[in-house]
Parts: sequence; structure tokens; C-alpha cells
Amino acid sequence: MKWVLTARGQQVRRDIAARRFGAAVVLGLGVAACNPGGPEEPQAVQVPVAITAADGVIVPPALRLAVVWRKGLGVSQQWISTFDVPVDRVNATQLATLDLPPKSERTLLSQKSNVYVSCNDAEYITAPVLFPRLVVYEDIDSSGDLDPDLPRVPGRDRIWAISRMDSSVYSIVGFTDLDQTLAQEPLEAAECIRQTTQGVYTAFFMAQNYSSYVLPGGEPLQAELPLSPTDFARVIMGCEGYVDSSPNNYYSDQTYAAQNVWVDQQVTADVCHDSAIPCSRVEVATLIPESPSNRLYPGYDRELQCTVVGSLDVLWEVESKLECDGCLCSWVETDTSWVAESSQLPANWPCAKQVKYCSTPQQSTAVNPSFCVTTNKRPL
Amino acid sequence: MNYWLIRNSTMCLILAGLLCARRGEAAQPDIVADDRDQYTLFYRHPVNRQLFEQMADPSFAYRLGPSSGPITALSDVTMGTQQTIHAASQSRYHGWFTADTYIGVRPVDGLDINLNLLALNPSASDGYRASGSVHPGLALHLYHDLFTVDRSPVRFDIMGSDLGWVTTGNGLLLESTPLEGVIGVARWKQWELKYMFAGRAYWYDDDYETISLSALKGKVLANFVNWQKQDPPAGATPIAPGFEASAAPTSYPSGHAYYGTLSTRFPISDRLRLATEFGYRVQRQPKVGAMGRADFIVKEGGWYAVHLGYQFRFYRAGFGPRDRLISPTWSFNTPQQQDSYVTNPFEYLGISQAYDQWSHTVMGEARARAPFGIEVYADTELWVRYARSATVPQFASFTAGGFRAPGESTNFYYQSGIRYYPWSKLPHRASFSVSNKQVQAAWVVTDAVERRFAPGTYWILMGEAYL
Repeated sequence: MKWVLTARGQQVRRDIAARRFGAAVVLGLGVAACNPGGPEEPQAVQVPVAITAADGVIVPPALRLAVVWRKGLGVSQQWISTFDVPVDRVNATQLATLDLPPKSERTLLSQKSNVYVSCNDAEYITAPVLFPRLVVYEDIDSSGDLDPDLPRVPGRDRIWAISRMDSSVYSIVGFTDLDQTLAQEPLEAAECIRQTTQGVYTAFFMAQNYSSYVLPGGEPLQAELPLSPTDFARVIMGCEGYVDSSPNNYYSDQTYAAQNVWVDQQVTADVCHDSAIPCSRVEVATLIPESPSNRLYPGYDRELQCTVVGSLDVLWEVESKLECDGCLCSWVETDTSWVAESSQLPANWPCAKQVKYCSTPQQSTAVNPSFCVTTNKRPL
Repeated sequence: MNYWLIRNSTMCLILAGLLCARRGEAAQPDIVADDRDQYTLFYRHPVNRQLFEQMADPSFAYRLGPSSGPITALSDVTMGTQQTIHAASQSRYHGWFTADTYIGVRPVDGLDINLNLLALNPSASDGYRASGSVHPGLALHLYHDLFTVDRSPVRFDIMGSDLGWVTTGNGLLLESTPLEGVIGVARWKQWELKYMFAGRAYWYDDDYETISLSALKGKVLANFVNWQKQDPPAGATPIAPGFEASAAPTSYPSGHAYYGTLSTRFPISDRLRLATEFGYRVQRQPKVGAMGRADFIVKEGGWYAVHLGYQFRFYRAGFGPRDRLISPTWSFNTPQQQDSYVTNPFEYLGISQAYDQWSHTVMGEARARAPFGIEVYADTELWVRYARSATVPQFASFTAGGFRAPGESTNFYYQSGIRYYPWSKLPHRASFSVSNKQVQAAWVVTDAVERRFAPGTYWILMGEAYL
């Protein structure tokens, strides 16, 4: 059976079809034209910050944790904060929020570099990055805002800790403009950058800073801020270009600030008679413990060496630490020798006990601690 | 917006296409596997097969070559310049010529040897004939009536390797893409069974294999696709275009993306058509894609012609064949590409792994003849696209064309100007136009590029001769 439509029937069918078509188009337009959502900017991320205080550090009550960015150089430097909260607790981990300053501010920031991201055997991405600094400061003026007191830029707030930014550790860095980097690179780079930022759409990642460039390390975002009452944190913050943020990377002529020989009162031999350095008779037991305050200095190191010479025990100690005067920092090394009768060693005599370091005794034949000291200026 | 709405609107489009079927038909192509878009006013370039049949078309009466005999030929010759406005650098085709010549040899009935020679020089600034090149495409075409069923012959065609500009289905997966490979077609009455293997589609490491069955002279078409690719394994970063040769390893294990698509093409009237395509990628978590297209066209209107079209596309995240973010590249970048829409699956599939995408495109072309051989014309395309991140956590990516996903963009493309026809009965013409859509090409036009059209504003002076 064959259906035959009349002209009228065809017209009706055409009208119905046209109406259905129109409805479908309108429906499609109506439901499909809407904002797809999704992040429009790289997202702020939270980073765990370990705020620690060594034994002997007296922690002030009004500490704050801030994420700051430097504008300008030298005496004209300014610091802008993107995060600033009270420190909850010392010797604990606290979350800090990392977020880039507004785009208009980023071009003015002075702590920047370029990152090289190796994607595969053939390609790498290079892109500008910025360094945020995480600082713990004492809010002396109770303003809630950072006004750092720096060597060349006096302020009111005292800096107690600052995140590092050197090649010996992984530092936090952020793409200056992640979207621009993604737009300039091939689509494939998106996966590469995503790996760099741990799969998160954020500008921040961990990298090693090699002065003119940084290399990402694939480490999770984290920071450690050891509180120090010394000047070093404020010097690092205010004197970049003069001072490296790592004591290990700090190169300076060493200064031997002090050399002393302390001879126990029980020693009968005249060990000081030809000493070229200060040599005194004291009660050795009262002097042997290390100075707790010294341990708070950056790069502090203490080495001990025990020597037995005849009936005498000689304890040689070298302490080194970095001290700064303004933006001028120097290694200060203190050499100290204690001499005691082997048969009358004080209770706190560390030799033959577990100490940080005790090298092989010197093969010295004469009872001459000063000789021993002068021939061992450098830590062994 | 939710998937339910998208799915239902898509299904509605498909159902509307099926319900709106009527007896009226647009002209069906006489050329086998002719994928040229019939619903556009863009110039439909000749195809590199069945040249005699094309020459026999009345619209080709002005051509110099014969429509019968053992050999024939035609050529489209263009020369022109495109100059940027408000741009520091020139476009690649800033002083070009093309001679797109087709030679067809039919030694016996059932065998055609077709040679397309595209001679071109993109730039007169490169030095005398410095960048001139000839790009041959050969299509050996065998055809034969195998046997008769129900008093109708079953015609079998096999051809390759030049397949020309290929569209599968209605263009959900592949549209107006120059391909080489092989096509085998069996036709019987209004049925057609077609197999195609194409050596490179959108990526340097892909192969596109499809088998399709169409009925009602192409009104309904089921398409099965095996899109072969080499995705990098987990942990390896995809290699960007241009670095394939220097990266190690240079190849990854072969993978497959399997698809089933269902297409409909129903003319509502002689001038109005509705087409749909629904695609389904078969994998552990199946993904869907869909498109609907409506076209209104007046071609033989006398002193004017007009086409208005609308298309909607939806690609669910993961629908594309690549399971990583990998840039598609276009490997044949000639001025012929100007006669195609920017909206193309090429633009979607690179970021498909991570983003739901949908778009609306309004296409409009118009020509109006004026006295003294003058024609005013305008080709326009409004493309509004959206991408939504489907990954957790979300991340942003940029296509080579600068589209940020997730996000949305609205782009308007145009080429508009005047043409002068010195001979009223002949198509030879000179034209002046302004455009913001020009073909992107590298120094060598067959060097793969990541974007098909170069941004910028251009004026174009052009002469065309059709021989």
C-alpha cells in the first residue's frame, strides 16, 4: 500500500517539521549557551610551613607568618604581602596561602628568575618565575601588617625567620603568568607544567635556585622556618645581592675572632709559658659546655677534638657561626682549648663520650696545646 | 548547564532530523565518495576522480577540456596578494600563484587515472621561484559492476591514494580534511557500503580507518571508525609538534579509539536541510559527541545567492581519539583551504581528553550581482565555543589558536569584497576583499601547522581563471 499525500497534507507536514526544527534549535541554543565555569586564574594553594625554635630560643608572643614579595632594590625596596596571619604555635606546622600579587604589581617585583622545565628528551619550557618569601616576624607595632626592620631599610617589625632561596634546597617559586606561559607553549606543555605544579592549577612549585635560573624538583610544596634571634633572617631579607640565604653558600673571609687556652687549675705543668695566644688557668669544668646562644646563629658548627699528651688531656673546640653587621657578614670562628690532668678530668669532660665530632688524636709529642691549636685552625 | 540538557537537546536535534524527512531532496553527488559540502557558497573545488563526469556537468561547460574521450583536463589558476592591516609581519601567501590542474585519463571503461598537480608559489618575496613547488596527487580509480541484485547492479569502486578533502558522517570526527589512503565503495540502489583507510588525519602518528553503511542515498549513515594513534604511556609527556624526530622514543605503542556514529541528512525542502550526527566512543567509560546542522541555501537565485547555516557541536571530555593533550596538526596548507569553515573537529579534538566542549556556529554567505560585471560578496562565520574542565583538579590549557580551556570565546570570521567578471558568461574574475581569516602556512606548505588560519586583518587582491 502506498501513501500519497495531498498538497495540503504536505504543507501541514512541512509546517510541523518546521516547528519541530525550530523548537529543537531554540532548545539547543537555550541550554547550550552558558558559562562553562572553571578557574579563570591560577589558584591559590596552601603550603605547610614548619615553624621551629631551637632550644634556648625565647619566642616572643606576637609572631606572625606572612608571604611577602619584594619590589625595588636596596634602600628603595618595599615588601607587599599576600598573606599575613598570627603564628598559631611554634614547633608545629601551619598552613600558609600562596597567591600571586595582582598582575599590575608583578612586573614591579624584583625577586625573579626563569625556570627551565624539561618535558622530554627533546623539549624544555622556559618561563619567568617569581620568588615569594615566607617570613615569621614579630609584630612589634601590633599593626597586623609587616613593616620589616631591615639593615638598610629601618622598620618596626623584627624578622625572626625567612624561607630560603638558594641552590642547596628547594625553594618555593611561582610562574609570573601561568596562563601566558601556557598560551605561548604548545598544548603538550600543559601536561608538562601540570606535572611541575603537582597536578594543581597553580603557579607555585618547588625549585632549586641557581641564581640566573631555577630548576623544578617535583617536591611537594613546603617550607621550613627556623626562628632565630640573630640578625641573619633580616639580613637575608634586606641585603639580597650581598648575602646568600644559605650559610653553606656564603663565601667570606673567615675571621678568627677568639683563640683561648684554658688550663685547669689542677694542672701542674707550665703549659702556658710559650703560648702565642691567651692562655689562662681556670676551673675547666665551668667552661666546657657550649654556649646555647651560639647554636642560634646560622651555620653554627662545633667540632671537638680530644688529644692525650703525656699525663694531660687536651680538648680542642672550634665553633663557627655567621655574624652580620649591617649587610656585611663574616664567619666568626672561635678556637678554644681546655687542658686537664688525665687523672682529674671534670665530670663534663666530653672525651671518650659521644660527641658531635672527635677526630683522630694528633700525634703530638710535646705538651704544647698552643701548638696543637695553632696547627689546627680549620675544623677537621 | 548539565549533561541531561545537552543530551536531550542533541537527541531532539537528531529526532527532528528524522521526523522532518520528506521526499524533497537536494542534488545528490554523482561523484563517488564526494564529501564536498553542498550547503555552502564556498567554491567547491574539483575532486581528483571521475574528471569526465565533472566535465560533463553543465556548470563546467566553459571548461576547455573534453567531457569524453581518453583524456581530459581542467585547471583552476589563481594569482594574488594578501597584505596585513595593522600587523608587523606578512602572511605566508602575500604574493602567490596557484595552478590546480587535474588530468584524467580513461584508457578503458572501468579504469581512471587521475593526476592532480597543484603548482604554487606562496611568496614572490622569497626570491625568483625560490619557494615554488608542485604537489602531485594521484588517484587510480577502478570501478566495475560486480553483479546484479534485484535487477540493479552492484557497483564497486576502489581508489587511492589521493582522496582529496574528506568528511566522514556530517563532520563530527573529520571534516574537509585532505587525506591520502584508499577508499573502496560498493553501491547498490540507494545503499552504499564504504571502507576507507587514511594514513594521516589530524596527527603525525594517527591512521583513520572507517567503514560506513548508508541508505536512502546518504540520508542515513552508520559509521564505524578505528582511529589508530600512539599515545604516550603514563608518565611520559606528549611530544609537541616539530619535536617528534628528535625525541626518544620516537614512537609509542599503538592504540585505538573506536567509534560508532549515526548520521542523518534530511532535506526539509529544496533549500532547507537538517543534518545530525551522534557519535559514541567505545571504551571503558563511553563518551559521546553530537552535532546538528541546519542550512538554508539559495544558489540558483539569478542575481543573488545566499546561504545561512547553523551548527551545534558537543564533544564530551574523552570523546576525542587522543587520551592525552596532543596538538592536532594540518599538513596541507594551501589557499584552497580558505573555502572551508573554521569550525572543524580539528579545533576540538586536541583538548578533548580533559574538557567538555560545545559550540554554536552561524555560517552566512551571500553574493549579489550588480551591473557591469560586478559582484558583491561576503562570507561570514560566527563561532561561539565553550569548554568546561572535566579533570580533578581542574587545569587550564590553550589551543594553538589561543582558545583557553576552560573558558568560552566568540569569534567572527569574514571575507568580504567585490568581484569583477569581465566576461558575463564566464567565471574568470578579479576580486578585492578584506578578511580576518587567512590560511596559516609554514615556509613549506606541507609542513604541518597547529592552527589552520592565521589571525590578523588582511586585504586581498586576487585574479582567478578557470580553464
